[in-house]
Amino acid sequence: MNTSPLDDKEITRELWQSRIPICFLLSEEDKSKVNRSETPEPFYLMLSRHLYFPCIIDKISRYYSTYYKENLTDSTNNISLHNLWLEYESIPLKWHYPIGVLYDLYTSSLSSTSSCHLPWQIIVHLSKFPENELIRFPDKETIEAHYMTTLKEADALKHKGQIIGDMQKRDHKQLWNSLFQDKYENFWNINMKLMSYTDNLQYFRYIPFRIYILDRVFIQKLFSPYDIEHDKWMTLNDLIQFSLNHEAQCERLSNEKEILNINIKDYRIIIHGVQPPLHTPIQWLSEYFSYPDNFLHICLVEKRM
Amino acid sequence: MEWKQIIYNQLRERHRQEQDIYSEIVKHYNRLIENYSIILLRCTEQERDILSLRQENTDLQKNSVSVAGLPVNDKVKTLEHDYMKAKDEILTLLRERGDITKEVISLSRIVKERDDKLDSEEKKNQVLTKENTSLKQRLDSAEEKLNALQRVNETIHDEFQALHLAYMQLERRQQELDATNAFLRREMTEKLDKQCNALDEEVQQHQKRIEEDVKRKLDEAKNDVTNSNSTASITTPTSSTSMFRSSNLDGKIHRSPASDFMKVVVPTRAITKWDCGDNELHAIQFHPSGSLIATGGSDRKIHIWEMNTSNGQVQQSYVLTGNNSTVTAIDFDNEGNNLILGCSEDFACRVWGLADQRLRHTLTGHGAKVFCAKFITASLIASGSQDRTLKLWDLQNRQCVRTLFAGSKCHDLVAHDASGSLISGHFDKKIRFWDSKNDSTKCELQLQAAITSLAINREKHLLLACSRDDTLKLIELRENRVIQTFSHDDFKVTSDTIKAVLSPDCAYACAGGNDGSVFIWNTSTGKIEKIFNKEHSTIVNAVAWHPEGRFIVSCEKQRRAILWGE
Repeated sequence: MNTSPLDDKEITRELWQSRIPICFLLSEEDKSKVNRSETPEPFYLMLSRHLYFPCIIDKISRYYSTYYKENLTDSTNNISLHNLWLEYESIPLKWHYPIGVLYDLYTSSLSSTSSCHLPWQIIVHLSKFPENELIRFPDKETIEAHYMTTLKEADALKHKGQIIGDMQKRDHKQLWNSLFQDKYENFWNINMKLMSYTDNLQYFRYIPFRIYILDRVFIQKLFSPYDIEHDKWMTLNDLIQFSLNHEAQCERLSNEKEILNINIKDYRIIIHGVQPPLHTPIQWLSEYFSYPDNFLHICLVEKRM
Repeated sequence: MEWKQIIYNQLRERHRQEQDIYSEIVKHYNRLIENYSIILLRCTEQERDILSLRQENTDLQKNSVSVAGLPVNDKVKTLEHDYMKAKDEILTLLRERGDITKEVISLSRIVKERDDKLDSEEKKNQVLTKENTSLKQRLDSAEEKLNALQRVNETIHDEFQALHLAYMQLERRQQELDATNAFLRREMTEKLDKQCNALDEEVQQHQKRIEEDVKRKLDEAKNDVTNSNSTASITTPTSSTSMFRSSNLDGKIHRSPASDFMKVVVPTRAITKWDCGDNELHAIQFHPSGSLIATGGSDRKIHIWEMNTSNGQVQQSYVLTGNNSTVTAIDFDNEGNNLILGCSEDFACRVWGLADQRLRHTLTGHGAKVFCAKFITASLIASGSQDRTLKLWDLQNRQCVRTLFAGSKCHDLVAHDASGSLISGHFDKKIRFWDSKNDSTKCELQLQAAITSLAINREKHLLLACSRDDTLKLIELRENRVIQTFSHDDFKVTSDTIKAVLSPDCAYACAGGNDGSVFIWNTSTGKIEKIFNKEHSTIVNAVAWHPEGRFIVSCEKQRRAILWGE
């Protein structure tokens, strides 16, 4: 895609520097079991959109451990860091989504107004872990493995996994470490390779993307960014239309009760907290607007009537 | 590219809304929280300090108030009481601790003992296993040996079987051969018998002829000759008048002469002198035919010399060997079998055949030197030796048939008759007469000195004994008394084996002396007849008279033998 590289770099830098203010509040029932006379104050953090919650779990646990010094090992109260889970408006937050995705999906859909829910207030629970809905927060190695898996999946879609396979383990490590330590240059040095083309194509083979709709499993389809028959670049509109249609068809075939609404106009399409125009070429979006795991995480939020 | 611009603008707007407003606030808020927590910490510490100080304060106040008060004393007493109790507890605990440590020590000792036992048991076990393995090895080797031995045994058994079979076969063959042998022998004996019978007849005829011839000649001689020595009666024809014919290897025939050819003459001069042997000469003897002389000495050989009776020349015929030591005496058999007997100092007597010069018999059995031996018959020999016994030997069985214990060294013996009665002369001055039927002496004759030689005449009634008292004694055998004594001043008997002889007609007695002279006495007068003292240089050991009476031969110690004649 022939775009002015300066703009692209600005955009990617902008994306990298995105932060969300989050306020962690301790749940009421856990507040009552605090060991000290003072109740814990709310805990504010500016978190990057493309990180994952387990990355900051150390900070959270350290903060709350001071309040629960003796109780943390007491199993009768079920207060323990092992049982830590996050909740927003009574929805337990999945830890393997990037923070930005979670924010866009839940805050935009649940609240009426678009921007008056900052700082994002998340409730921290230290007990009554919802075993049915969540898996416990993992450690850093697990989150790294999840990130790498997603990255490989993306590359498999884009280049049949050739580029990620040719890269050395050192580069893999560097990707994750620069992501974790917020080093833009180091990250994009290597990510550049992943954005290159193979097989004499001017585009990716397939676009790695996921579409998130509230209360649904995410949608992922095979979609090529270039229409060879009609010799034109596919746009965001095409992608979403195609995916919705395909998904609805699948649901019909399997006799689902509620069929997906395939009218795009009923949705707001949010990526990275912004609504890009629908005629944006999807190839460009995949190259420059993906998350660090090389996926386009698209949130579809129903417009309130 | 307006979509890009739209996106960019949206991003900027978002940034402003989400980030700019809140970042500073959050930062400041976090800092406030930190400060707050620090202050809280300090506050709690200080509260604790205050509490403790207040506590101390109240304590001090209490102490200052109740210095003299009873409650204080009670407190002190209670404190003291508590203190004592605590001390007691400590003591008991210490004692318990000591006991426990003792128990620990004893238990550890027990454990060590057990360990030692275990070690020793293990060592024993090792030793036993080693023994076991060695015993197993020995057992294996023994089994191997056993197997090998069994195998060897089997092979030996097989070999034995084979050998047994071969042996059976050979036995059978031998039996067959024996049968054929016996058969052949029978045939041979039959043939020999026939031959002998034929020979006997021939011989008898021949004898008859000869007898007639001799009778004729006797008749003639009676008419011519007056024989002074009437005692020289015509003896039984078997010994002196019989003529035997036996052929030698050299073809000569030796005959014993008839008695009427005997003409005893005292020799006058030495006819021949010769050296015989290498060493001393001890024995000399004439063959009954008179043509052979046998000498024997310390060269261990018996030399046979041929004598020409006409001119008295002597030449060596042959040598008989076989003795291992000095020859002490020689005797010819006078039955015509042409045997010569020599006895030597190697404790044995030997018989040779003159015809083939072959050693026929060796008679051993004496325990010391054999001094004398005589033919009694052609198959019976008597020998006397230094071991004080006399032995009678049977030539056919080649065995000693009788041993007579004389009690003294026997220096010489003569045969009295053909049945085996002997006369022997001994070192203890006795002449013993032995009976042929029993082993005891018939009678003994005591002389003055040891007897060195005996000689008996042909008619066997006169005995000449030479003794060490330098005399010769003539003994009459019918009365057993000395009838004559011969002596001379120069006649000295210095050796135990000096031989003296009678002439064939008993007219003269001859002996050799110490200084080399040969003495001849007249037996009837007792006077010395002749002395030859110039020829021999050393002691004359033995003399012999020619059977026909014309010659005397003497041998001296220094190898020289001299033939005396006229």
